Amino acid sequence: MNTDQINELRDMLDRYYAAETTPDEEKHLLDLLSDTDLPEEFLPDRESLSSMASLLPPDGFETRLSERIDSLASKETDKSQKTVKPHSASVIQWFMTAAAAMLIAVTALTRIATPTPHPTPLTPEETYEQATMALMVFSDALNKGYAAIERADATTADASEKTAEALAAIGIYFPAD
Amino acid sequence: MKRLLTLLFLTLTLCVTVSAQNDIYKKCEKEKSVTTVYISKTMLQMIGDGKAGNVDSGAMALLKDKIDNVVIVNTDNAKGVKFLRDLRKNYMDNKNHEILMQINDPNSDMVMFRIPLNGSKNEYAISVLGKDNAHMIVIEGNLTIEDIARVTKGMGDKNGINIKKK
Repeated sequence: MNTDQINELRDMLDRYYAAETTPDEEKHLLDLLSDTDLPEEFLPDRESLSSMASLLPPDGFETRLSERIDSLASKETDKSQKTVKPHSASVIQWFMTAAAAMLIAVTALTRIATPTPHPTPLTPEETYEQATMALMVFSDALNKGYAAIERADATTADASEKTAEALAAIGIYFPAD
Repeated sequence: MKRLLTLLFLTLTLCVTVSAQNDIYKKCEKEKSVTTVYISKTMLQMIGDGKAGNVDSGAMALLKDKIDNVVIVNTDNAKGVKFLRDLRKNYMDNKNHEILMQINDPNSDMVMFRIPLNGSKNEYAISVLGKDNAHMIVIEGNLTIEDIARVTKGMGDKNGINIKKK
């Protein structure tokens, strides 16, 4: 190894340890360090860089990794956009809302469309006559009902009295209440 | 979801309530063989107290407050009598309608019903059928049969309506 190469080696090592070397320069540096005539002072550097080189990813690894990451990222995005939340509950709720709205609308229309009974146009006197007639019909029915009850009571009382007389005739008496 | 179900339930209740009101009026209004008279509470309240006649004025005032409406259906033809006979049958077939009284004598064929309504309100209906004429009277309101009896005490045969039975 000549002096120029040694100087170049020193310079590149400085730059390497300062992380200023390009991948091509690092390759050239490894070539220099692999020289058989390498001075002893650079032997530790050769060992260090050789072990580091074995850890370096193969060529194109970063590109492939970047592409893989991009691919996975795009798949994740598609998946999140296509994911549909379970909508059975929301469908049922939609139908219930629609049913409630229809029911309200039908009820409202029914109330609007159903004719409210219009009072028959009567004068107060006519109203009085009609209302009185209606009450008299009820009164007539009630009076007939009460009359029937009274007749039944009377018949029952009469029958009880006759029964008591007949029993007394044969010596059977009921104690007075 | 609870709110929706509550709303649906309330709406259904409203529908049922609306459809149940004024059934007798709806049935009779369009029937040409009968004469239907509808008296609202407002009209009843227009009756002057001085026109109480046979009815005690205090009791009349009570009835004006308690009666919501009166429907009077009359007929004097065979078709109308058949209509009211069918209407009576509907009332009798309805399990919610309580038969208070039924009188069948040479003068009249009469049935009185009580139909409980919402709250403390009742509907009293009386159906009187004859050969050639018939009545159906329905009184709705917050009143009892005792109220009617008290108001019409003393009225009756001399003022009652005679229906010739077939």
